[in-house]
Amino acid sequence: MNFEYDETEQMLADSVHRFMDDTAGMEKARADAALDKGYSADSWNTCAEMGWLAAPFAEENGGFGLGAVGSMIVEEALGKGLSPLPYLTSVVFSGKILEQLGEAVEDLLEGVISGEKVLSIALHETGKGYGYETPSTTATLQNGEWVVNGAKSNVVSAGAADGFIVSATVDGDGFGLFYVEAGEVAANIREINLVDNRRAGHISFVAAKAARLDEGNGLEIFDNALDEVLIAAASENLGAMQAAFDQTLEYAKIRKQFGKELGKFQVLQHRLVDMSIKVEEARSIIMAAAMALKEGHEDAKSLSRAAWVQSLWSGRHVGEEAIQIHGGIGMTDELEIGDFVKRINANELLFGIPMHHIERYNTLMA
Amino acid sequence: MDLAFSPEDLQFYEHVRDTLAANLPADIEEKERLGQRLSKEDMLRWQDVLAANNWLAAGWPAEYGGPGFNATRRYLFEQAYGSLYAPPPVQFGITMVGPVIYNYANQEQKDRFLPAIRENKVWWCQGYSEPGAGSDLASLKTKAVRDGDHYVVNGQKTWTTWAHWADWMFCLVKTDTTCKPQAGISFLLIDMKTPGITIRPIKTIDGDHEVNEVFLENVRVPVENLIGEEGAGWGYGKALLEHERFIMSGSARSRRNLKELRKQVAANSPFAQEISRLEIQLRALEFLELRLLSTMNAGGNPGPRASALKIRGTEIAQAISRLRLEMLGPDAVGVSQGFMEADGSLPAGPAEAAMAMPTYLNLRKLTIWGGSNEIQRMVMAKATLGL
Ligand SMILES: Cc1cc2nc3c(=O)[nH]c(=O)nc-3n(C[C@H](O)[C@H](O)[C@H](O)COP(=O)(O)OP(=O)(O)OC[C@H]3O[C@@H](n4cnc5c(N)ncnc54)[C@H](O)[C@@H]3O)c2cc1C
Repeated sequence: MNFEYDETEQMLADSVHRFMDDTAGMEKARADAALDKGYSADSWNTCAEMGWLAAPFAEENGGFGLGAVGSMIVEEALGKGLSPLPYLTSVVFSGKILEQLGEAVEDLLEGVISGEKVLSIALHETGKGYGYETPSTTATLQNGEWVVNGAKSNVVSAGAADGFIVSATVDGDGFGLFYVEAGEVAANIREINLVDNRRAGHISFVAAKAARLDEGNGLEIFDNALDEVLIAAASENLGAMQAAFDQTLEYAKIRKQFGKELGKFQVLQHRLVDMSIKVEEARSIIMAAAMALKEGHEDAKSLSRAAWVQSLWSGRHVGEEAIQIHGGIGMTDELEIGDFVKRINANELLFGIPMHHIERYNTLMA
Repeated sequence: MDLAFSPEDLQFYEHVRDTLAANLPADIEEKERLGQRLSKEDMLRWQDVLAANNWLAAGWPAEYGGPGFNATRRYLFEQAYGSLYAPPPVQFGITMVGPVIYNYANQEQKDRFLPAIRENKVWWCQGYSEPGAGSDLASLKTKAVRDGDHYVVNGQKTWTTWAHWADWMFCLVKTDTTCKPQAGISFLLIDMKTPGITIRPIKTIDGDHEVNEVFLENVRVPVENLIGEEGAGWGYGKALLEHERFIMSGSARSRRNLKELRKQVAANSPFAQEISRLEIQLRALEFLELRLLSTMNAGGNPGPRASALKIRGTEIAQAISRLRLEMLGPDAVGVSQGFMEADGSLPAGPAEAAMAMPTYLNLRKLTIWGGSNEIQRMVMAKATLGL
């Protein structure tokens, strides 16, 4: 049992945090979101050069073998920096699906790790909430080739992606995972802004040529990848809530009303202490979940869900309190506080509300 | 004790609801239902309907041209109104400056300002808060110095809701800096067209422009725009805040919104649990509201206990907006419609999803403004618990 970073982990944390401190933050994130891709290609290249994209993958697959601990460390910094970089969707979600598939997708995984390819996940369908297991999108074999038909919504970084991993229902064979090159759907992507400076797209797949990725075990592959995605996304929430808390604490020390700093009022002292506890609870369970998954503990799956749900409870509490304790100024677009709140909320909606994951947690613990 | 309203009162409720429903323009109702923003013109159009029934200044006594509802009718009016997707009227004229004017102004001022408020002719904004004076309003610094038959006003107001649409602003200003802070504050009415006023928009986290900074530089305000006595403005302003609190529970709107959520889920859905949890809290609040009303009908004064309505009403309204987001799930993660998307189009998906996140973000204001919930709790601690 050891919750301290080792030398490699510390180096990774230091370098990615330093990079975020120098290059990220609200102004930059907003400007980057308005770029063609919705993020800075330069920053992405730096991530690749520094090896951050390789951090979570096994050494035999060209990674640094840090597993979920690696993606956790990188994501915390991205959350703090409000970064719109497609790390979660391309590296963690797509990468962790590909990593389970072996040689057939070697080139794709190599592209993801080197940063040359950016992939995204086409999962959500309008009006279906979190009913992932039964996509309305279909995949059928035509003359020996797979084609995908259907509409996916809120596909993160859709406009910048080189390809999509698409969930679809296979005739007579249930849930399947497919790979579709961006060129197949280029004309059918409607880009939108997410609430938090990330871009996404609604995509119609019209007889889009596809390659099947799974062998009937798509749900299992998907669920395994989700274990790490949830921890990484929880860590992004952690970065955001830690920063929102830090800024609120700072503000409480300088803002004066009734002749005193806000932080001198006992009511607010207690509230700030509660916020700090929420952050620490989230941090602890996220670290534990990342280690459990990396080390292959048997309760890794339930811990991943637990870490995710705690990050949402903590994130919501900290975010709402951060706005409240700032007062009117907390409601303005000029502070980073609102952007942290939006990032945490967007992640919640994209990766699933507590109720959804608690259902899964119930079955895992039963 | 008797839980039911009288048949006459219930008839009144139905009459208000049916009349408002019959006259509510379909486009405005649709915007309100989807949580979309209303233009100034939309608001004025709807308030004209209210004014035509003399229901704009619904809380005013008959002697000042209002409908003269008793406390029960006033409550039922709010309930009937809040059950519809009708935009709430702009409060600044009718529940804020109006009562100050009819309680404390001279006859000439009453004649000049009250009819225009009642008839939806003038848009008012509230110039209280300043960068350094929020919860601690008495520390405000905007100064008004007497110069012949004018006050010369210098300073800055902030968070001024709809200053950019307003014709007039009621303002707390410092006329005496030598005495205790509260004693040097006066209540001044300022025509927004007066030279020296600059308005700077503040964009909020929901992407909207509702609030503003208002800079006042050598703004000359005729002395006849002072309400009551110089230095007595704090008392007027405070009385007004108490007035505000009773209608701040927003329980009728919360009920309407919960009803809408209930329609969308099966009884065995886990969301139904959450809806019921909030609905039970809301019902407790509604009956607390009725008990305070009953105190008033019996000639009592609910006083600072009314703060409880503001505290719980705003917390419940926020929780409902939060639940709505969760029920919409990923469909609510995109933005649209004035919220960063330039072409004003809605994203694919249920139309009501588009504004769920902006609404959730916007409603964070409920616990901050109108006397923050922390300040309300302090009022209750002191005045109702004797702490
Ligand atoms: C959307 C919006 C619209 C508004 N419209 C108007 C308007 O039209 N006109 C107008 O005049 N004002 C308006 N306001 C301003 C509003 O009234 C103030 O924001 C409010 O009074 C709080 O002041 P503040 O923002 O300076 O926060 P602060 O007073 O700095 O308070 C910050 C936080 O500290 C808490 N706090 C302060 N003192 C204490 C204490 N002693 N003990 C415990 N907690 C404390 C507060 O509750 C709050 O949570 C608006 C505000 C918003 C958000």
